[in-house]
Amino acid sequence: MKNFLCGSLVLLLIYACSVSKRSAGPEQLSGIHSYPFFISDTFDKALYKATLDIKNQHLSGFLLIKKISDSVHRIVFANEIGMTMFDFGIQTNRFTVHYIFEPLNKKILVRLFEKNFRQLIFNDGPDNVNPFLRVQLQSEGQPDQVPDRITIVNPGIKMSMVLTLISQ
Amino acid sequence: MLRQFFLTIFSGFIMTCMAQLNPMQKKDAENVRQYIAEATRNTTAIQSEFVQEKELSVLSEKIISKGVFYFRKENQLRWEYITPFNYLIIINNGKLLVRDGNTENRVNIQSNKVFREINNIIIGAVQGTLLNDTKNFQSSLFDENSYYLCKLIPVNPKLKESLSEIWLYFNKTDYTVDKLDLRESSGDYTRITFIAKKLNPLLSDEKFSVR
Repeated sequence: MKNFLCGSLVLLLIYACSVSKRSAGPEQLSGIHSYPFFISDTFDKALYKATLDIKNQHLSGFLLIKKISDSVHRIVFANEIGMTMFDFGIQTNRFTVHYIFEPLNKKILVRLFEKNFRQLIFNDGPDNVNPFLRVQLQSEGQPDQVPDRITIVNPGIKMSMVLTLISQ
Repeated sequence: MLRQFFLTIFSGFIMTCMAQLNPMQKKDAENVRQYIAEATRNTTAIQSEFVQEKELSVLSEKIISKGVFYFRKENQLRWEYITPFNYLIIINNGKLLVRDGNTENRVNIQSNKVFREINNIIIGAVQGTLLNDTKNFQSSLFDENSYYLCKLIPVNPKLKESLSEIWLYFNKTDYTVDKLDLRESSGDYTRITFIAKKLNPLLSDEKFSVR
């Protein structure tokens, strides 16, 4: 049984780590809103169910946003099995990659992640200069509370992330 | 004086580590491996609940998921998360189904080199050869209080980047796995603990349907 369990988990792990194909592209957003929810004094952490589509590749799992201090937030994305896909530290003037799963470790992707999370957390304005870094962000829920659902779309590179609140 | 103090602390630390983890003598390890192989041979099906805890050490956070899993020889597996959300993986003789909410995704393992290799690992596992499979894993056995602990280190460097070690904790009575750790190089790990485990239950074909 041990052998079975070990083998199965290796398979699950690799499946979860691998990037599977999906035909659906990012959805069109009906409205664009953003609020600085995550820097409020009352915010501590939020755990989301997350799906990430990059072109025709699909990843899913958990996304944790945690305020470490008044100036530092940590954002960790792990798949269902628990393996970390990325772990970022973000400040107003600094972005730290603590870990990123090798297939995601592309310069343009990391810049996009930074742009997306900077806009989500600090409500930084979108970059209109570089079309690849364009960010569309939509959130649902009470305006003064942590959003129940967040959709981030980068039309320039066909990347989209959908977050659904699990707990806070 | 200061040097002596540090030496004392250091040797105390080493002794604590040794007390917690005793590498097994070769003969004892061989015996345990044989018992495990026998338990594997006698197990044709498994049904169990599980609790999965993802430990984020730097953030002092845990992400907890719960679910059930079913296995039937030779190559059928249903791994199902129930909380905090539904997520289902079924493997059935070379075919794989993933259901995430309303979205279903099917993969033919045979047509994909990575999956085919993984599938071969599973077959090797069911046949009881994985722990002796030096091609894919380096394994070592330890006597750890109430468990026999088997540490597996992937040989494949790509796998090793994400997963530095797999730790399997074997029950000392029936030689089945009670819990396991998937350990990452960052120090974070995911622990899966099996509860209400049933060996050789009668399982319906429906549980493994990938259609």
